[in-house]
Amino acid sequence: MASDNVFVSPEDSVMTNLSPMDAVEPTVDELLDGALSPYLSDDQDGDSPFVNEDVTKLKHAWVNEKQAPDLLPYETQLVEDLTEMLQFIEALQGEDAGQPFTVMLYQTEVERIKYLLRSYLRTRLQKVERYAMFYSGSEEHLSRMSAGEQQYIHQYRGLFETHMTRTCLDKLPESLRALDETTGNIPWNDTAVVCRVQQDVGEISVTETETVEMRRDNIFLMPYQTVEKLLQSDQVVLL
Amino acid sequence: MLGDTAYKLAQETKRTQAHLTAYNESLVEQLCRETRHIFAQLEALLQKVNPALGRSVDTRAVAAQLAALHATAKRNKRCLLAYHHLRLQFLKSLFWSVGKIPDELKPQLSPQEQDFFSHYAVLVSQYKHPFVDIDLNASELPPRDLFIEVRVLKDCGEIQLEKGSLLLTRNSQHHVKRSDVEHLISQGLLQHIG
Repeated sequence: MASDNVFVSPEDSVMTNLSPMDAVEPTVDELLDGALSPYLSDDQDGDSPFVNEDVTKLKHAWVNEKQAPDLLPYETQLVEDLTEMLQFIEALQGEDAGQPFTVMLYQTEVERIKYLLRSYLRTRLQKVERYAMFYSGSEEHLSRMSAGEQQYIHQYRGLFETHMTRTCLDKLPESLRALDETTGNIPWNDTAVVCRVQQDVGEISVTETETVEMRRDNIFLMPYQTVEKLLQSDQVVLL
Repeated sequence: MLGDTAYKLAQETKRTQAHLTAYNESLVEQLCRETRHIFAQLEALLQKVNPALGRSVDTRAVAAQLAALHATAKRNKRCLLAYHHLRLQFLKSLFWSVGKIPDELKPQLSPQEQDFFSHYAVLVSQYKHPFVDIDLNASELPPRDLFIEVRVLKDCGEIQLEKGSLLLTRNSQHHVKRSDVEHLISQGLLQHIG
């Protein structure tokens, strides 16, 4: 997956930034240990991977959202935690500059997380707009949206309908004025997606007669609807 | 011929994919008129087959005519919606990439479309209000470097950076933090040079 490769994971990015340096320099862990501690809350260990876990989760959520044809449930907690963390880190950097080198590492990382977040939110907005007619009438999809997105879809639909009415629908005979054609625009859940299995799932049925065994780290290309359930329980991730 | 106007509009829609052409109000108007005319014809036809009038007509011929006219009316509507929808899509992508309507494009838009654009801008800004720190309009490309080299193409005066301020005069070159100047690059005031 190209878009997956573009973003370098936190661990990798540290490596690439350090690569010109020689082995005589302190190791990555030593460097990060000291630098991380001011940003960790008291109940965490100094080398706790707490920052990375959320970022990895966001990365998965982002790729899933990019690849899935349908809207996925909004990661309320994750987005909230990460925005809070970003604000926290930026506030800290104002007062405690630290070593210029580590500060730069952090700022680069912060920029990257911000990119992930905004791309995640944008991807969702694009889907919401595209299927506005369909989603705004479907309880199930509305429940997958954040409060902001629900407000957005409602207003967007209103805006869209007003525009269409004013430009052409009003001039048509009355029986043609309803906006029914666009409701035909629904996500196509048959689209093939590539997924990686995160944990052993066992046999699942692909067609009426066929089943496959999904083991951890297997990679499959299959219709989105087949993996939809597994995706929502985090048993697979899309690639 | 029946359906010709709709075909013209469909062709125009296809051209819109590459670049925005001027809003073709006369064609839209003409197509709407044609559709209304078709409906008048339909009603007249329905009157003809009304059994209460007791006239003998070939019902099969009338049925074929009805079906053809009805299909044309539906197709006209579809073409109209597609035309307007695609233009809105263009406007939206313009909003996300540039943030405003460039002056040279303004004459191409209908007043309703300009309205849509400003309402859309309000809508998006409402949505992103809770996300103070995240600039949703920023580039869709993942960031590679924290600092970038930029050349100033047009005078922008003094801008506020995270720390301090910077005077951007034309043709000067600066080494700045990417997130500070991203919006200026997308507006075409600065040029990113390596």
